[in-house]
Amino acid sequence: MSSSPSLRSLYARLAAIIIASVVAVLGGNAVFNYVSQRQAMIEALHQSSALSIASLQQNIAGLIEAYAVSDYGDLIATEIEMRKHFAILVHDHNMGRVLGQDRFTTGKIQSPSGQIVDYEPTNPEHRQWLALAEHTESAPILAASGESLGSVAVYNTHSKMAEALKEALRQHMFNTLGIATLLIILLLLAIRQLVIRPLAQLTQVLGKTDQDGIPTSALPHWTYREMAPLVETMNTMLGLIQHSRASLRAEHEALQQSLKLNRLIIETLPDLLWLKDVDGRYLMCNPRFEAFIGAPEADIVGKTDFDLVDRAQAEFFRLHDRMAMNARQPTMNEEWVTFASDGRQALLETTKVAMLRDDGQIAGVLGVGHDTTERYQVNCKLQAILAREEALNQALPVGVVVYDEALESIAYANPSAANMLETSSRQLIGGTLDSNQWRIVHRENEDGTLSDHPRWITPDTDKTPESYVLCLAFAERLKWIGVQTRPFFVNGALAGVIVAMTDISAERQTIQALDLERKRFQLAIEGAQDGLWDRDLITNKVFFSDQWKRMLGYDPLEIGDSFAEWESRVHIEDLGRVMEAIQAHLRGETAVYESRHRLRCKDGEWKWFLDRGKALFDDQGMALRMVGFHSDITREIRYQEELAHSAKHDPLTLLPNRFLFNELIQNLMHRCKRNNKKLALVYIDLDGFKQINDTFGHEAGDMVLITTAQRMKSILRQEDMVARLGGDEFVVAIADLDKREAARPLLKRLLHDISQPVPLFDGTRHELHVSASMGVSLYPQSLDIGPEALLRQADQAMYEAKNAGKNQFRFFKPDNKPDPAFRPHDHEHDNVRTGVNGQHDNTTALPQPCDMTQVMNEQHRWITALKQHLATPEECPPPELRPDRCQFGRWLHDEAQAAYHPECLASLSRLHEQLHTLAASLLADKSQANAETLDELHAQIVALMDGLPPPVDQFSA
Amino acid sequence: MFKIFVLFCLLVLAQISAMTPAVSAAPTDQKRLAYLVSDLRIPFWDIMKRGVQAQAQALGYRMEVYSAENSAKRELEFAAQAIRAKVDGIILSPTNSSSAVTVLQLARTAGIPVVIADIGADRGDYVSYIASNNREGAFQIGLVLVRAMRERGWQDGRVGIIAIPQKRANGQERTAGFMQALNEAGIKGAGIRQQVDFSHRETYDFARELMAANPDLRAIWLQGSDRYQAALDALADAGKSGEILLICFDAEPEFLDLIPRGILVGAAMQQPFLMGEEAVKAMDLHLHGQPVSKKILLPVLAVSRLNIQASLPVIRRNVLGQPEP
Repeated sequence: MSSSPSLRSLYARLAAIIIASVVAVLGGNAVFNYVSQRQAMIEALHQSSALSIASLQQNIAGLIEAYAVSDYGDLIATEIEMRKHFAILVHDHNMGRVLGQDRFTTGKIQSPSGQIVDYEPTNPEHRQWLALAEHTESAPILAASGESLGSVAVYNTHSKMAEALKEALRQHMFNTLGIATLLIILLLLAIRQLVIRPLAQLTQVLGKTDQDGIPTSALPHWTYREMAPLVETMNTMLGLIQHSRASLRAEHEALQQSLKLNRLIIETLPDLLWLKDVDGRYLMCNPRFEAFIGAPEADIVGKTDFDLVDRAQAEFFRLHDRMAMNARQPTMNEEWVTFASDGRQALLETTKVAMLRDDGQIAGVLGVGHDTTERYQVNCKLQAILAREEALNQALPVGVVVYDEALESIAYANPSAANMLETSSRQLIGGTLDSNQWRIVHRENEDGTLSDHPRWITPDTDKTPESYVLCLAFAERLKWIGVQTRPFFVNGALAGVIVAMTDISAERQTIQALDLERKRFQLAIEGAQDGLWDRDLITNKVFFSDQWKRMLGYDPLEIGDSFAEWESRVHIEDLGRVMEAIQAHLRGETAVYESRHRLRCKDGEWKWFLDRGKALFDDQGMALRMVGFHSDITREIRYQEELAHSAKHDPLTLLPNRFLFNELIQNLMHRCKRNNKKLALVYIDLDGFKQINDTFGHEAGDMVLITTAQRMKSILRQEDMVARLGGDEFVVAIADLDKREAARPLLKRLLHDISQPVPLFDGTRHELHVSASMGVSLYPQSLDIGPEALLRQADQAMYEAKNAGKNQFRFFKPDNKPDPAFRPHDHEHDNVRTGVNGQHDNTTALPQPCDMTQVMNEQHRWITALKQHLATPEECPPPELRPDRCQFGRWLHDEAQAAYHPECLASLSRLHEQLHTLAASLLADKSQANAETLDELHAQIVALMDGLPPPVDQFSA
Repeated sequence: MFKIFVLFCLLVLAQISAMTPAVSAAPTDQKRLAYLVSDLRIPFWDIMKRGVQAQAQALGYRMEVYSAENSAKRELEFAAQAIRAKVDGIILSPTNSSSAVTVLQLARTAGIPVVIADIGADRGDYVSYIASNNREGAFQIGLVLVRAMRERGWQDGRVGIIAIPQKRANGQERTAGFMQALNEAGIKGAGIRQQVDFSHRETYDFARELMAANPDLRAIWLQGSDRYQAALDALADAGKSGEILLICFDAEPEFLDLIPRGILVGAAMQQPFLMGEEAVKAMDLHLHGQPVSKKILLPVLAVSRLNIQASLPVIRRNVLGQPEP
């Protein structure tokens, strides 16, 4: 709140009044109270004295009569104590009489120190005290009979009262001061709270004014009814003022807005606008007019056309100004003008209107110049377009017909359309597209459907573009017309339809021919067993025939047309090879692409396919596409694989045979040598197998072999190998050993498991018992050694085991003899044979030729020796012919042994072939040889072929 | 009959002495004392007067005895008379403690020393106050009763009290001493009745009331000795003689017979003769400028069957005022 220092403070004035009033009122009150109290105290003193006298009069009489001096002394003491008298004295006549005096005086008096003491009449000090009393009241004491017993006197001094008054005055002053202070504070606070503060708030609100000095806020409500009307009235006045001012402001703003809008319209008006007075002086103009004159409005206003343009033009303008003013109605004229701002020439359509004052006098002329240059130019362009369009239609090979919707007839037809419809434009215009000259055979819609009721323009749907093919039948031939219709609209309403026609008869006939061809080709493909593929090398899209997909187990829709559909199904092992074959063909290195590879079928199986194809090259030798078939050759491949497997496996035990063993042992030896490990090669010959065969038959023997093979396989590790060399001879390769002794547990287990009884399932509960003699050689050795030598070492050790009592194993001891090409211990073998007294001990497992080449070489040597022997039959056969000395002889012997087994058909088959060859060669040489010997030999061979081997003794003999 | 005669003679003598101060012919240099006594018709005061006289004679004082016959006026008149006579000292047995104050005030004004023998004064200056040790005496007689009840195995019984007015200081002291003895022994009280008119009927009724209200009442203590016969009558009428013990404060000559017979268990006996003697002795000391105790308490004899024979000479002299010749 701001206050002017020159004005006096209402609050200060009120405070002064309050303080003065309170001090005056309370001060007067205090004085009045003091006087009243003093009066009351004096009154009370009198009353007190009277009361004491009355009380003592009544109570002492009896005690005086009873001479109870001490008792009424007590009463006096009580009274003086209670009523604060200065002294009370009793004059006792009875006691006076008793004591022989006029009167006996006794009582109490207050000493200057405030003590109440017994009054002694004889004490001068007491009498002196008593003289100080300023107020005395006394009364006689009468007996019941009326006799005077004495008197009682009460003494008081004013000094006590003065003290009391002084104390009361001090108390009054203190209270008055306190009350006055409190009252002043409360009043000041109340005035401040109830009057000054609301006033200050009013002033504060009134002080907050806008730029016009009008308070911006309403005055706060005053709760007191004395002031409320004032505030309400002021608020009403403020509201009215603000409302009026807001209305005025709104009107002013609306006017300003309107002026701005007008000015904006004038300034943005594309037309030229100007105002002149009657003398032709410009009063105003817009920017467009400024551009025309080439000067700002400020420079134009006040000038005439003669100051701004050349004289001729100025006179032209002036003339038309006058005409407009005279006519008193708008006049128009067109004129070419040049804009001074950019030198552009423009055609102006000028309208001039006379401006009239309120009194009807002409004030000037308003001119509006509308630039119609663009319209003029558009008009010119339109004319050119129309001419060009007509020429175009005339020259266009596409037939164009404009169908007028309003006239329901053809409004225009170009010559091409007339030609296609074999008529003239003139005949077409005014008519419809339906004519007797042609007939719609059918209408092929864009989606390939045929319309039931073919028409040129489809009713109700003529508002949308259409594209279709009409087959029209003329008198002598059919025509296919490709039609495109496009409606056009004027002002939103359908005005007509443009029908564009193209004669596609020639293309249509070609397509039909091609389609026929394609269908034939399709039938051919569908009929074939092989799958067709056609790869576009540019897009790398591939067409796979349905048969191609079915061969892989897929439905036609399950495989797309990407190259990856094929590539992703090729076996990873084959993919590189196949891709190389394709690339080789595409490079022109092969005439035909051919590949055998595996493809993954839908069920996850792999099938073998023979894929053959050929690429199509362009003139530059660039391959464009590649077409081919694939055939399922899975069955043939599987057959070959089975053949290969049976050639390398023993059909009875399914163990690798000698040939596969020879392949695999090489790998194992290499691996162990590379890994710095040892390989143990175990030659196993079953003990007692021959007796089983003889006693229980071949089936029991086969059971023993199969069981023994299974037991050995179950003992051996994955990296180990077991093979059947023939008969009851097996060989086991134990790989990756750290030392020789590591083989012992496995060898013992082999001995143990093989010696376990084999049950004979013939209902007799017989058990077959065999054991094994095993010879073990180790690889690598100090000298480089091949697989054949290693096998021989094991064989030799096996014989040692056999000789040592069977059912045991022996390691080969390399210090015996150097490794010969053939068995170095033939004599030992002989001993063994003789040791069994000619019995067919199945310990005939001998070192065998490692491959057929060696066998054939041996065979050749044997036959040569045989021939020599036959030439000289009288001589003893050379040692080479002895089966135990000759590799082939031994082989032959072994094969004969093996021929006892009907299941060894493969071996027998080979034996037969070779014996046939041998027999044939023998017969061929018969003329040159000893016929008898040859016959005998032939007979022996034939007998051997019949499964009856000659006794070894006889043969060797 | 002998007793009545003796009492009559005592009354006559007292009357004579009250009307005319007993002035004995004595040499003028002999100091004079006045004995202001409330009422010589009462044996207690008479026995005390004898003690005063005996001791005054022994010490060579001339003694003037003034019996106020229980009148305050007469007491003041005698006091004024004695003061006018300028006695050397006053032995005062006042009618009451309030009237003593006035006497003391008059004597002080006259400069005459006063020794108070029994009763006492509410206030005022005096040389010495001779009194019985009421509290101790009551306590001792209480112990006598306790012993008697224990002997009978009646310690569970109750004891009723017929008392002098308890507004008196001596009454309060007696009750307090007696109750202390009972409380220490764990014996319960049976209520207290305060005498007003000291009549035979009053004491008789009080005794009957106590017996009726307390079936287990085993003893009655009389704080005053003069109405012992009323209590005995009440016991006899109630058929409780021998079943309820009776014990007294103060003494009567008959007690010398009743206590040995067991009719009374015992009595606490003040020694008025001794008190009189002691009052004169105190005055004598004062007059000779010797210091005197402001208050002298004399023992009260707790007499029972057990010690009555041994105490008989003392009882006869100090209690009954019968000094051996």
